[in-house]
This record gives sequence, structure tokens and C-alpha cells, in this order.
Amino acid sequence: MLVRAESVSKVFSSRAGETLAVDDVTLEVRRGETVGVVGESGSGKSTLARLIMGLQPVSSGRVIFAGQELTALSGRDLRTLRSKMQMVFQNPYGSLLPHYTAVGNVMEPLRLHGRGTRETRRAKAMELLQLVGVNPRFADLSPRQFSGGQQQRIAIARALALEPDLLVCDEPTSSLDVSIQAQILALLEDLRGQLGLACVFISHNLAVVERLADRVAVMKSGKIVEEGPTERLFGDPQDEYTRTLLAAVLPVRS
Amino acid sequence: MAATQSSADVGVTAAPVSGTPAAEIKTKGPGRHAWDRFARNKLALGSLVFCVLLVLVALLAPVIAPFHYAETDFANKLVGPGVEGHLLGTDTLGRDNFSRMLFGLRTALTVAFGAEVTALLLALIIGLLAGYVGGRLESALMAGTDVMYAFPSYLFAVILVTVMGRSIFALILAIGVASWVTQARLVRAQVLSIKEREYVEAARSMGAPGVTIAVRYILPNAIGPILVTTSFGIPAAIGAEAGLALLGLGVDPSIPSWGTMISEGTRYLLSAPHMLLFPATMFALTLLAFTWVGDGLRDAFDASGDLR
Amino acid sequence: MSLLEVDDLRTEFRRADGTRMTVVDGVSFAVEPGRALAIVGESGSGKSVTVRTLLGLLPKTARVAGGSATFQGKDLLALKQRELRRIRGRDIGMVFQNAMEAMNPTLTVERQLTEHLLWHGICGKAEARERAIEALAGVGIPEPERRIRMYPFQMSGGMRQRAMIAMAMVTKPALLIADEPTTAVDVTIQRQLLDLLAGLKEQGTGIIMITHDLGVARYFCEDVMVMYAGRVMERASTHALLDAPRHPYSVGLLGSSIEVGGRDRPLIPIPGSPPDLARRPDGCPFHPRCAQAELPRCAEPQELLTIEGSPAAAGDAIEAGRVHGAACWKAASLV
Repeated sequence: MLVRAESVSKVFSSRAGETLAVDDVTLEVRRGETVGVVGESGSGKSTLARLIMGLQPVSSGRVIFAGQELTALSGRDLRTLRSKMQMVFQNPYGSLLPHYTAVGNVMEPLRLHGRGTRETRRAKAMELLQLVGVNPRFADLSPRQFSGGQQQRIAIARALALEPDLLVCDEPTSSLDVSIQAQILALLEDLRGQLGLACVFISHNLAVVERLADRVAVMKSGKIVEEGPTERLFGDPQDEYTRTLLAAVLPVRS
Repeated sequence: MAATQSSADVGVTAAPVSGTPAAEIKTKGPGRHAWDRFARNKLALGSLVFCVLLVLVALLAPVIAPFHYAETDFANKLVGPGVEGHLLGTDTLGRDNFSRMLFGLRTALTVAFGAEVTALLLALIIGLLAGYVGGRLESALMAGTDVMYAFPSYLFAVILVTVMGRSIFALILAIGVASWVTQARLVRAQVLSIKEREYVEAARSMGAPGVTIAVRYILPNAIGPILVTTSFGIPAAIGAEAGLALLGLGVDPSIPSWGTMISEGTRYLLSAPHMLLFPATMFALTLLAFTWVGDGLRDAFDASGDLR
Repeated sequence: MSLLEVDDLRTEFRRADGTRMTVVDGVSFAVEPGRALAIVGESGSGKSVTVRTLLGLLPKTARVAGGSATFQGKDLLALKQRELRRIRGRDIGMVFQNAMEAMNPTLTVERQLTEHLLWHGICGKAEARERAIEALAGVGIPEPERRIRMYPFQMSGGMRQRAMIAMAMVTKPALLIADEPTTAVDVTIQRQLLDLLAGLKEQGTGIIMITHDLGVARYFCEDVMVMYAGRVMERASTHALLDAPRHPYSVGLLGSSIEVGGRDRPLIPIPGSPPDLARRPDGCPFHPRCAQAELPRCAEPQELLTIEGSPAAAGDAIEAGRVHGAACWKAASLV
């Protein structure tokens, strides 16, 4: 078992009152497996991702990663642990440092964790860019000079730089065109296989999750309403809401 | 020659390295892009050239000036332009106006740049701290800023100069401290908005400590609008220096200042109009030039404009 | 008689450095009353610019470089802004992707609905209010008399989208143009909105739906037109195109589509990216990415061929939805 969220809840308080974004959720991810989390807007899936990553503190419950409880760690220890779990975000351009070059972005996590020298970091970053399909010729360009698909590739390269055990993807292809989406998903599938990564894949797109995930959790209003192996969940959904979601999908082919 | 990707490259493996860069890479980096936009504005470009010339002239004033600015020539008091090698005439003490103008420019630019840099540094430090740390520190800093904001800036400058004496350093401090306030608020606002961007969250997820995030990632991106206000601040500072000089609180009277030259010149408007005409014209041109550069900078940094 | 007939539409943009960019390059299609046409394409395909050209909603840097658009006997492209404004909102309704952006946040829903009616001089104030309430009820908003006094931000996303549709329909336009109306809403609401729009089709409204989602196209639209880099790649009835696409780009789009139940089907992404519109490839804009491409033929200008093999003449534009056309000389031979 790689990471386990145990009865986690998250409450956001604002002037408008309190919102229970995640409500007593338990979720486990084992090494090498991909868990898909689906839900509509407001389901709490993005918040859950951030709780697992430790980017947001839990209001109650605990998150255990590789045997260590996140809430018990000091700031520095948590930052060191971060190297084992990385995230790919929804907005490709927004998640890259705009004032760094493409290769600079990929090098940055290595620099933050003091890995190697500038030369070795750059060499590794170039390798990663090549791995994700970005022409190394363009390594020194700024992110905004790339297309959305390329930007997401750079973001993926950056996420892989520290050789994490877990990759959390929060709607990584939702803002991309259909044909580019297919490229990025193919890339993720491939990398996952090559590197043996565990993955938490958040999406509102059922078809994408069905393709990539070994297990799926369906979220609604902060709770997991159903969870199980992908084929079982899609083939024989038990929960009413899951069935509603599946029924709402519009097929492309007859 | 086939211009296509072979179908072997397609399939369930990672997409190949692209062979058609033009399709995926938009040309020009952001710095180059901003410069191109700036350069397209002929007025801004021309003004920039003029400002650079002014700076050069100010630096080379001791070399260029035909006379020393304090050198008196009682035989040639208040003569008109062109007389006896005095390009722009002389003043009541026979001092060469041209030389005094050059050194006045020097004073003006020294004070203006000095004040603006001071203001910029103060604004960055306070704005960054307030925006990034937030909480009670932010409230305290913003309260302090509000107090400064409410305090009439001229009065503050007057007090400071009275206390510290009429040195260039005092003037720089006076004008700088009086003008950082708006910029600090701007910095804070920028920092607040950038804090919410995804790359800050991404930085945290990479394990970056707070200081690194604030200084290396947020600050460089917050600077844009501040540069514009700084460049507008320069003419404002020149004006402030001249204004203080008019009040008798400028630099030591032995050092030439456009403010004092203008105030003297008004007294001789009818008898020796060149006394007012030259300094006033230069003053106006300088202010305009810097303001137009600021306009150009602001337009160059504007996000919209180009299609897609 | 078609509701709208667009023939060889061309739109150009002038960039900041003075160069011209063709964003819509010879697009022809027709919309029939009571039928929906899907315009499918990715970023840069020109689908949004096409409809904005028809409505006269282009920015100052753009201009119409050619073609005609006949609507109710008038050429929309030849009309002055004043006349277009009369048609816009009254005879042609528009629904956008994001209601929060399309609606005025400082006006109540009532104001926005009635303003439409009053401005076009369709009826007086009292009747306008009645019609507005009716329109809200028609889009399935419960308690319309109460909701009508709300501001957009007070409504949920789905309800706002419905209100926007109500706004477009309150003047009972003959043609409705919807630009990605369901992209920003949850999938459960999406079907409800589409069913709502289907009701309008039954009343005889013709609909143009811009979408990147082939599932939406299949569910809702009878006819579909695939655009790429400003050109029409393929045009057919939806079932014909989705079940048996002919143009390699359409084939590629379908190959890239991921579906529930398609877990075991291989994912075949289209390599590369859409072209920079300022530097479009010669001839077929898709050929650099096309596995079937053959030079030099593919770099020559392509025409929309009917699958039977003869070029589609201008007169066939009327039948556009029924004839399966593909802009690829190899299309007929590809299976």
C-alpha cells in the first residue's frame, strides 16, 4: 500500500459559512495501480486530490503515505516527502513557471531537492523532455511559446523529474482538444507502464477514467458513493448515482 | 519527400517528437514580444531615445559644460542667448545658463532615479511581505501604508528636509518615502492574485519552501505593473524636486536645480524671458518624454492586443 | 428552401504586425428548419469565427474576405450593422458556452429577457414580462415568477444556462446558434439541456451547434460538418459520418475519441498539432499530419467531393446535409 486516506474530511470556512468539501472519505492506492476518481463539479474530487498530496491540511482523519502520516510531519519533512508524489494539473500553461524556460521548469524540482549539479540536472531534464515527446531543440523557449498539448507534456516531464512513486493527475486533459487529449493519455499510459507509477486520476470524464484506471471511486457531494474494480463498476454499477452518471453519457459510435 | 509522420509512429505509444515545429511553437519569447510592442509605438520609442540622451548628457555634464555652474561673471549679468559664448545667456550673477541647465538636469535625474529606486525597494519589500504572509502582518503593514497614504506627501517631504538638511540624500529619501505607498499596494495586489495561480500550487507540490516561492516565483511575475508606475514616477519625482526647490526646500542653492531656475526666471519674465523659457521648456520636454516612455511600457505589457 | 445558406465564406484577421491570416477559408453549408447542424472542430478550426462572421460579431481586426450568407432572403454579409442588429437577437438567437460571461451580472434575469423584447419592439412592457416568465417556464425553470427577479450569480450553473437559452428563444427566432452550450456543465445537466433544445427543433427552429464533442453531435444533430484550419473537411448526415467517416481527419478524430465501453479499443492519436494559421500548409491543411498523404497531390487545392466521386457544385449547397462530401481526393477509396 502506497497511500491511504483514512476517514478524511475537509471543511472550508468563508464569509458565506462552512462548506464540507470532503466528507469522511477513505481511499487506498497500492503501488503501481491507477485509481480513478470521478464526479461532477462540486463532488470534492479535486479537494480529495489535494488532501492526498498534503497540499491542503485535513480537517479530520489522516493521510498515510509510505508509512508516514502527513499531518505528523514537520514542514521540511513534508517537503522532502513531496519528492515521492507529484501532481499534474488541469491548466497546462498555468501550472508552469512563466518566467522559466521549458527545460528550466523541468529542472526546478531537481534544484529544489538538491539533486546533482546544474549540468547533470539539465541533462536529466533534456532526457525527460525527449521522453515526453518535446523536441529538445525547443528546450530553452518560454512556456507560452508552446501549444497546450506541449505545455502539458512539459508539465508531465517536470512531474517525473523527481522519480515519484505516485502521480496525481487532476483533470490533466480537460482543457485540451480531443486529438491532443488522446496523445497525452497515450503518453500517460505508456509512461505509467514504463516507470511503474501509481496514479490517482481525477476526472469528470467517465470514458477517460474507464480506460486508464484499475479501480474507480465515484464521488458525490464530498462522499464516495461507490468504489470498485473498473470493469465491475462500469459493467454492473450498484449505486443509483453511478447509474445516473453512466446513463447520461452520450455515445459516439452506434 | 513525404511530409507525414509514418503510421508506425502513431499507435498506443507516446507521441513522437514533432518534426513540424512551426505548427506547435509560436514564435517570440515574452521579453522580445514586449519589446516589439514597445518599439511599434513610435512616440514611446522616440521618447526612450530622448531619455537615454538625457541620461548620457547628465552623466557627461562636467565634460560638456562650457563653464562651471558656479562661475560668476559680473560683467555679463543677464545677457541674452549667444552672447560671449553663453549659449543660453546668463543669470543675475553672470553664471552660464547652459551649464546650469546641464547640472540642473543632473540634479533632477539623480534625485528622481534615486527616489524611485528607493520607493520601488520599499514597495517590493512591504508589498511582498503583506501579500504573501498575510494575516496580522498584512493588516499591520497595510494600516501603516494607509497612514502614510493619508499623510500629505509634500508636508512629509518638507519635514524630512527640514530635519535632515538640504542635501541630495535628504531629497531622495523625502520623495522616495512619500511615493512608495501606491506602489506597495500595487505589489500586494499583484502578489495576492499570483498566489492563487496554479504554478504557485505546483511549486508547493514540488516541495518548494515559502521563501523560494515568494522571491523566486511570485516576485518576478509581480513586477510588471510596478515597472510601469516606476517609470511614471520619474517625471513625478522630477516635478516634486522642482516644486520643493520652488518652496526653497530643494537642494543647497549652490547646486543648480531646474526648480530654482524656473522660480528665478519668473521674476525676469519681461526683461529677460530666456531665463524662464529655457528651463521651463526643458522641464516640460523631459517630463513628457518620461511619461511617454511609461505609456509605451504600459501598452507593451498589456496582455491583449495580438490575436490568439 | 433552406433557412440559412452559406456559400464560400472567407474571413481574414489582420495581426498586429500587419500580416493577414485566413481563419475561415471557403466554408459552405446550409441549415434547414427543424434540423440541427453540428460544426465540429478543434482549436483553430475556425468554427466560432464562422458563426461570428455570420452575426457580424467580429473584432475590428477581422474582415469578411468573400462569400455570401443568405438568411430569409437577405445576405447577412452585405447588411449594415444596423440591420444586422435587428436580425440578431430577434430572428437569430445565440447561446454561448459560459452563461456567467454572456449575461450581464448587474441586471436581473427579468430585465435581460424583457430588454430583448422591448428593444426589438416586439411587444409592450406588460406583455414582455408575461412572455419572459413563459420563456423561463419553457426551459424548465421551476417557479419562474420568483426566479425571474434573480441575478445571474444567484442561480446554479445549469439554471443559468437554461436562462440563457430562454433569453435566446424569447423572441422566437427562426435560427438558433449555440456555441458549445453544454461544455461547461455537468454531464447529467447536459442531456437535459439538449433535450430542451430538441423541443425547439420540433417547433421548427433551425439550430447550428458548435461542439468539439462527437457524442453531443450524434445525440442532437442530424447533420454534421467537420472543420480543420478554416476549411470544411467533411460534411454529411451525422450517422453517416460517425459510422463511416471518409476524410482522414474525421477518421483520426473518431480514432482519438474515448468512449465508455471502449476500454479495449486501441487509442490512435493523431500525431502533431493543428497548423499555425499564419503559415498554413498548401492544399489540404491536414496533409502534414495525415498518414494517407501523398505529395504532390495533397499539397494542391482540394475540393469538397461527394463520395460518389464528382465535385460538389455550388447548387448542391442546398442539399449539403444529405450529400456526404469530403475534401480529400482519396476519400472515396478509403474504407
